[in-house]
Amino acid sequence: MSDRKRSGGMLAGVSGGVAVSMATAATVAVVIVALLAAAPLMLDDYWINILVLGFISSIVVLSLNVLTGYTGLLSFGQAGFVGAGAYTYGVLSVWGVHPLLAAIAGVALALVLGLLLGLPAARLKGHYLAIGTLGFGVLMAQSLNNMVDVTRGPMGLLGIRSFGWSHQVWYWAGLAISLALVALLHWIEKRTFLGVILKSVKYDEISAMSSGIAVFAVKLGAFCASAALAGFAGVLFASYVRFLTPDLFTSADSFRYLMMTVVGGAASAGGGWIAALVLTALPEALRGFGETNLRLLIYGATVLCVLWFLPQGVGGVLETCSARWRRSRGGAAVSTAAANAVATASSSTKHPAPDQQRSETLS
Amino acid sequence: MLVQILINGLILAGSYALVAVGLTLIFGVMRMVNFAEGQSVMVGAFIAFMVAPYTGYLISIGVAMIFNAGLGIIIERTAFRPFRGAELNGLIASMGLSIILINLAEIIWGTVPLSFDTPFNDVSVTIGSVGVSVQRLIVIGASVLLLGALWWLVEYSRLGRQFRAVSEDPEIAAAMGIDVNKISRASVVIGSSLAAAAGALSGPVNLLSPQLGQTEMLNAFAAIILGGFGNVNGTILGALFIGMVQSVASVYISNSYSMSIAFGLLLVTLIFFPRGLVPERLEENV
Repeated sequence: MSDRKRSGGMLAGVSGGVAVSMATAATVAVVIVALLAAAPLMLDDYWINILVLGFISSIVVLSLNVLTGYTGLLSFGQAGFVGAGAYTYGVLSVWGVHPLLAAIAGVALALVLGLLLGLPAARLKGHYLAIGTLGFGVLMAQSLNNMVDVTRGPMGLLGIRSFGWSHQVWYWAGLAISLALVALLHWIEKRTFLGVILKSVKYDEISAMSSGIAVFAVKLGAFCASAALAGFAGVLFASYVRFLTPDLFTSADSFRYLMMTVVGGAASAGGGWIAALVLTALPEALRGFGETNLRLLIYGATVLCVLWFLPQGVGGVLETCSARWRRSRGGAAVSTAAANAVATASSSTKHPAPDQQRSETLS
Repeated sequence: MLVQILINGLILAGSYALVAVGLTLIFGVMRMVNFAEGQSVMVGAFIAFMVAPYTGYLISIGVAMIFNAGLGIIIERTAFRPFRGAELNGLIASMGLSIILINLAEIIWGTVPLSFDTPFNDVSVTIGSVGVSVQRLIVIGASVLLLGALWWLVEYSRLGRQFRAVSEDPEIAAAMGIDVNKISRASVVIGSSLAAAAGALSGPVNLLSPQLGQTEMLNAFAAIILGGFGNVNGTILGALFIGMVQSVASVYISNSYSMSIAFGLLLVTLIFFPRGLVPERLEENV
C-alpha cells in the first residue's frame, strides 16, 4: 500500500502536505516495528512463546492467502501440508540429519505433496475442491497416526533437534520472516503481473483462459507455492516446539487456519497476519475465565461477531482506513492517470467492497 | 460373517445418509455447506440420552428431533441468513458455531465418553447364524423410514416442490411467490432434525462424546461428493456405498484406516469424475 502512495505522490509532484504526512506515516511505522521488536524485552517467556506460535500460524495463513485469497481455490487440508513439513523435519532430525538439510527436505516434501494433490484438485471446482482437499487432510492425519514405525503415531515424536535459538531469537526470527512474507505477498498481489494473473483465475476462469492464461498451470503453481509455505511453517513449528503428535495436524486444525484467513479477510496478507496473531493469543488472553471450554466458547463467538460486523475481515478495515487516510491527505493530488493505471493493475484498489464480495463467492 | 458385515454396513450407511441428505438439502437450497451439521448429530444424541430414562427410547428420538428443529432455526439465523451470497463467510460462521456447540456440550456433559443403554441393546434376534441386537435393527429400520419420508416430502409434497424450485433458481422461485427465507429455514430445520435422528439412533451403538459429530460429518461429506451435491437420491446411494466399504474394510483391512479408505476412495473418484458420480447440472456462464 505504501508503495502506491509514494508513487502517487511522486507523480503529482511532492507538495509540502504530502511530505509531512509521509513523515507521520514513517514515524508510525517505525514506532510500531520498534514496539514489536522490543516486545521480547518486556514480555515474559510465556507470552513470547505464544507470539512465536502466532507468527508460525500466520505463515500458514499466508499460504492460504495465496491459494484461497488470491487464486480462489478453497483448501480444507492445509494442516496436512504443515504436518508433512513438520514430521519430515522431525523424523529426519531424530535420525541425526543436519537441521538445515532436514528443513529443506520438509519444505520439499510438502511441495511434492502440493503437486500431487494439485494435479487432480486443480480440475475440481468450488465445493468439490473443498471436500477433495478435506479428504487429503484426513488422509494425512490418519497416515501420521498409523505409520507408527516412522512417526511413532499417537505416542508422539520426541527428541527433535532445534535450530538452537533462544526464545528471544525465535521471536525476532518469526517476526522478521512473517512480516517479510506479508510484504512479499502484498507486493505480488498489488504490484506484479503475477498478481493480476492469479486474480483473473479467481474471478473469471473462462475469460482468463481466453486471454491466454494457462489456468491449470496457474492453479497447480498456486498449490505448490501454498504447500511449500505451509510446509515451511511446519518445519519452524517442529524445530521450535520439538515435540509432535498427529493431533496437531487434523482437519480441525485446517479449519482453524481457514478461520484465521477469513477473519483476516481472505485476500489480505496484512489482515491475515493480524488475525493469526490475535486468534492465537485470544484463547490465552481469556485464561482469566478459567475453564478451557468457556474460553473456546468466547473464541467461537468472537469469530461469529467478526463475520457479522466486519464481513470483509480485518483486511477490509485496513483497506478502508488506508483509503480514508489517503483521501484526507489530499487524494486530489494524485493524478487521475495514475489512479486509473493502479485501478487496472489491481481491481481491489478502487472498489474494495464489490471485489471482496466476489472473492467470497466461490466459483 | 457376511450377515455381520452387511448389518454393520447398513448401520453406518443409515446414519451417514441421514446426515448427508440434510447437508445436501441445505446445500441445494442455499448453496452453502453447513459445518454445524455434525454438531446437530451430537446434540441430538445427547438430548435423546437425557430424555430416554423418562420417556423411553423410541419417544426420545422424536424429542431430540423436535429440539433440533429449534436448534436449526437458531443455526439458520446466526450462520446462514446474514451471509447470503458470501458463501465462504457462511461456511466459517458455521464452523464458529460448531466450536460454540462443542464447547457448550463439553461444559454440560463433560468430555468422558458416556454409554447410552437402551432396553433394545440386550435383546437380540438370530438372522441366519448370527445374533443381531434389536437396537441395530431399529437403527436400520428407522433410517429407512425417515429417508423414505424425506424422499416423499421432496418428490410429492408442496414443500418439496418449493425446495426444488428454490434450488433450481432462487430468483425465479421468489418471483413466483415462494418465500425463499422460509424455505431456507425449513431446509435447515429438516436437516438438523434428521441429524438429531442420526445421533439418537447411532448413539446407543457407539459411545456418546461431544466430539462424535466430527467424524460423522466427514463421512457424510464423502457420501455427498460420491452422490453429487444437492441430489438426495444420489446422496443416499453414496452413503450406502461408503458405509458398506468401511464395514468390509474394517473386517479385512484395519479399523484405524476406515476413514482413510473412505476419503481415498473419494479422491480416486474425484480424479476420474471431477463432479461426482451423479453430476449436477452444469451452471457455467460464458
